[in-house]
Amino acid sequence: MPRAFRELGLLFILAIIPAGIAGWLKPEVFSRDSIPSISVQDAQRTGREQSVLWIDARNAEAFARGHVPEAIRLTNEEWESLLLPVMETWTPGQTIIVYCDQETCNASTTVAARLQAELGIETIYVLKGGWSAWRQANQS
Amino acid sequence: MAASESILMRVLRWLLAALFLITGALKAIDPVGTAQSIGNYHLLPGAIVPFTALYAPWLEILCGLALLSSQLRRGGWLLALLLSAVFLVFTTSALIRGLDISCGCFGTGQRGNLPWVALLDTAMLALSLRGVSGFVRAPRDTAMRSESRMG
Amino acid sequence: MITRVLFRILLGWSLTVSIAQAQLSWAERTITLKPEAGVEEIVAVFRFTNTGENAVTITEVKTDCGCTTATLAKTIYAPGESGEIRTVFNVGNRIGREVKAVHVTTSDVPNQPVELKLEVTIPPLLTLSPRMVWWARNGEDIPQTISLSLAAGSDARITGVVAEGEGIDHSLQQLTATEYRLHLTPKDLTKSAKIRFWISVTQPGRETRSFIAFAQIR
Repeated sequence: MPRAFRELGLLFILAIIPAGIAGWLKPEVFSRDSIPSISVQDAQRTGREQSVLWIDARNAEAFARGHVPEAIRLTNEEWESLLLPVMETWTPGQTIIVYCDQETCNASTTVAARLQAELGIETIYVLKGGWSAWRQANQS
Repeated sequence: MAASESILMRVLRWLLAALFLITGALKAIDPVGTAQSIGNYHLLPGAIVPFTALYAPWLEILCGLALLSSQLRRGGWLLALLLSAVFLVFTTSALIRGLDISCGCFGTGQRGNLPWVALLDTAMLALSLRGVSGFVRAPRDTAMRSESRMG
Repeated sequence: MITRVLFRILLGWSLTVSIAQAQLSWAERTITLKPEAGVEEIVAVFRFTNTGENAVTITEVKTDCGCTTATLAKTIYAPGESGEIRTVFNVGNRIGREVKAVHVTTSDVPNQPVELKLEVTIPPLLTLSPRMVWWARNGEDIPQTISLSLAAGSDARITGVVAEGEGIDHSLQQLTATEYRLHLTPKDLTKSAKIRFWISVTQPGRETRSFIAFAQIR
């Protein structure tokens, strides 16, 4: 049995070399979207303390079925047309929270990252758990 | 150890090795996509995800190679056990949380396949357990045989 | 005991999988494209051949997103016959890396839909830097500039800037074929203002696209 663990240790060490080379060849692995996420509880607390702009990154049908009160829709594919109401409503320094369908949907991250990159908005978050989490928290 | 391995076990060991080699290679050639997939499970802290995406595929590849070799086979079985257990945890947690890993927006997803993946992970885990128990028992058998010879 | 039971599950599973071999062989399951800036639609064709001994029926072709459509000429393919799934992805205003999946279910392995992926990196047609400028009310009326950069090597031109709202003067300056500057000067910093600038970009053979920039006095 100790021999098996020695072999296991060797495998762990050997894997470091190609992994390191891969990381050096593809540094873009590290620069994924760095938008912080916020839980529903923290989001609601922030909303009580300061003004929050909610952005819904889903399509029109999903939005019509239900959305966070006073949320405005903004999607990657309708960026140029939907950006206007967002910018009309947003006031400088206001925190923005972007949400979409579920935990794993990336639309909210894409929209948040694009807002940050194009408009230089600093205080921007992605809602953890998305619309489902918000709805669950507000049902109880 | 090779002498006591049945033909069935040998075939299954090769299958397992092939599985690890293939899945490891597929992940290794697309670390960005792999990082995305791992991130989608929301189990690891964001900072660790890129390192895992780079390291884990190579662990899989080495596991596959070790299972095929004679020198590192025991380590290979242990690693297979470890990896299968980790995969099962990830898949089960996704199933429990009702995560639809793929999404219309941006995903390297497996829609509706999670139950099958969980079954596969379980099977891999079972096979690895069998493989590990194969060499854990062996030294004990040898000790007993030498004792009976002496006694 | 448990390991033996799980072991037999594995055996059963591997036997089932080896019997249920998918008959369609795909030329490519992932297509990676780098379209030029300003494309409205991206088309990818996934080709396949029935390498099995029986006819295969494609029972379902599903895309994850309403922006992607997938069509095929017919649903039943005889042994040896080839076919293709034509995928059209409507880009809209998207930029950057996008991955769209198409899930194909066939009659031979109904529990294992094949996932086809279209990976594209969409370059922005126009990059505005910054997209928004602002002045503090009663602050210094220093003119500001928005850089407008068209995609390198593209045949696009900026054909007009229309302001919606009062309070800020603008002028468009062209530096090179793809570089422009939008100069903005506030007229009266004592009053708040929110002005939108619609920038029209035209490409031969394509519809004119509008991009929006913002200027505020707050």
